[in-house]
Amino acid sequence: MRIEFDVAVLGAGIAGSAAALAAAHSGARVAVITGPPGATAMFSGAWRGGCPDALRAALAGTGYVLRAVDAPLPHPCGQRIHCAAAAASHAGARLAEAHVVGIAGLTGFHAGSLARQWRAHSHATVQLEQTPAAGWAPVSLAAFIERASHSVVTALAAAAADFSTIILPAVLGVRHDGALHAELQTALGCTIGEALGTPPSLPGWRLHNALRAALAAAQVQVIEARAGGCSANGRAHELELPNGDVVRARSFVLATGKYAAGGIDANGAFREPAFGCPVWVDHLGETFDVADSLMLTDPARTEDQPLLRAGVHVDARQRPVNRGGDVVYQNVFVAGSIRAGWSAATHGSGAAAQDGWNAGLEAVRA
Amino acid sequence: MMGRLGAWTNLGWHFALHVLTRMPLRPLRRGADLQRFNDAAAAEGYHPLGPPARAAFPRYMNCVHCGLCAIACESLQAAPASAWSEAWTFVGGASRSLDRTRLVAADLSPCAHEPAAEAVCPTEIPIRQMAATIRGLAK
Repeated sequence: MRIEFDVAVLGAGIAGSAAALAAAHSGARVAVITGPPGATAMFSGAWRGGCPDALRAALAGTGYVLRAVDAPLPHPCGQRIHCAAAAASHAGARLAEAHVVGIAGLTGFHAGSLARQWRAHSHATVQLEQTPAAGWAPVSLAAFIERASHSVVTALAAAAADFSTIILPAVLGVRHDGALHAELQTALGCTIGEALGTPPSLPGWRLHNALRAALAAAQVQVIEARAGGCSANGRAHELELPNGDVVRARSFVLATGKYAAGGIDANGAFREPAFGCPVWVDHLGETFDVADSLMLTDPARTEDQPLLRAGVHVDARQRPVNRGGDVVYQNVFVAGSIRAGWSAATHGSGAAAQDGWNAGLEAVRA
Repeated sequence: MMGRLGAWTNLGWHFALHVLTRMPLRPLRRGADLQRFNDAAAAEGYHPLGPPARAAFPRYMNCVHCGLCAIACESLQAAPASAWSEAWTFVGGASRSLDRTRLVAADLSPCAHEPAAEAVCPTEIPIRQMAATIRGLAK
């Protein structure tokens, strides 16, 4: 079966979703072709950088509200993370006067040690009904809190009684709409801030679902598949899906991410599997088109890793180029962490969103 | 000094015994050596894989411990009383080593049937196939 669109976006992470929404808002017929979730679904909750107003509004329409943050947010590794914005459930986690509350049976969140590292006011641990003998899996706890919020309120009420702000682990429900967070705040009569998340990250899962809901609301068709591209004469024409269907489009956005979900394959030579765009990384005066782990790994693990800078190089309009600077595809626009020079250390969610938005507008103009 | 000499002598004796008698006679032992090896390994929780599982195992090793499978799992969301706190290790542990199968086989019952976890795996591990393999090894 052959399906036609104006713009086809590969990838449904932050960059891909932003591109799709930008194109849809400009009146284009848009499809998103996406494999399994990638780095976006592992998002901690800390939104670095800005966010296009229309994307923020689209997310808010799904119930996922991004709020500006003017103080560092608590991370379960013990650090205080500076960011520009966060979902409403995290934004209230102001540390100075906060009471950190852990939940018995949930590993990875020791309230006492975290309160000391975060320099919070105080700490406590509560026991919930039906705590499993083996402890809580984060998603099990989140789903339990959604189902039995009244019992959670009862357990938290005593711990929260004398405090204006309490900080909880990132387990306030699986849904992305923030309704549970609002309900608990109202019931407890205090500000509740969720700490940031670590894998398995519920904040990331909520963002992933919020983006999908925003795409659905914008009537963007989402096709769950990994696609290969077909091209001729410097233009991409269509994408072949594994089931034999073909997606044709006037222009394409490539936002498949870097390594997490396979946007770049680094087994031996670097490879971009969808369109075969050239991939390389420049490091210390050399050009690498093979993932040489010895040369491309900085021994200081906390430093930016050269391997993470590999990606597709682009021109000023975000079209992929080869080493000579020639545009490889006139109608393909590259966005997000698949780009060369992009890594989580250097670019955050906001940069990916803006880059995706720009790519979506370019795709419409192409 | 004498202890070291004795150890070397013992090693040399058994090596000679192995090369001069056991190796030439192996075809006549009709798999008894292999059975003895498997019996010793099985007691430690290691089971030989058949050709289909051996062919599939490299894909199992792709787990990057993101935990998305644990978040997407509908059984974990619905049944906290039976949930394991480090649920993502159902895939992460098995992706590195297929020993200790009996410890996890019972918990893998939903993993072998439900598609939700497999659908969200970024590295496309065939979780259902892996869970079924582990449950088969545990029997």
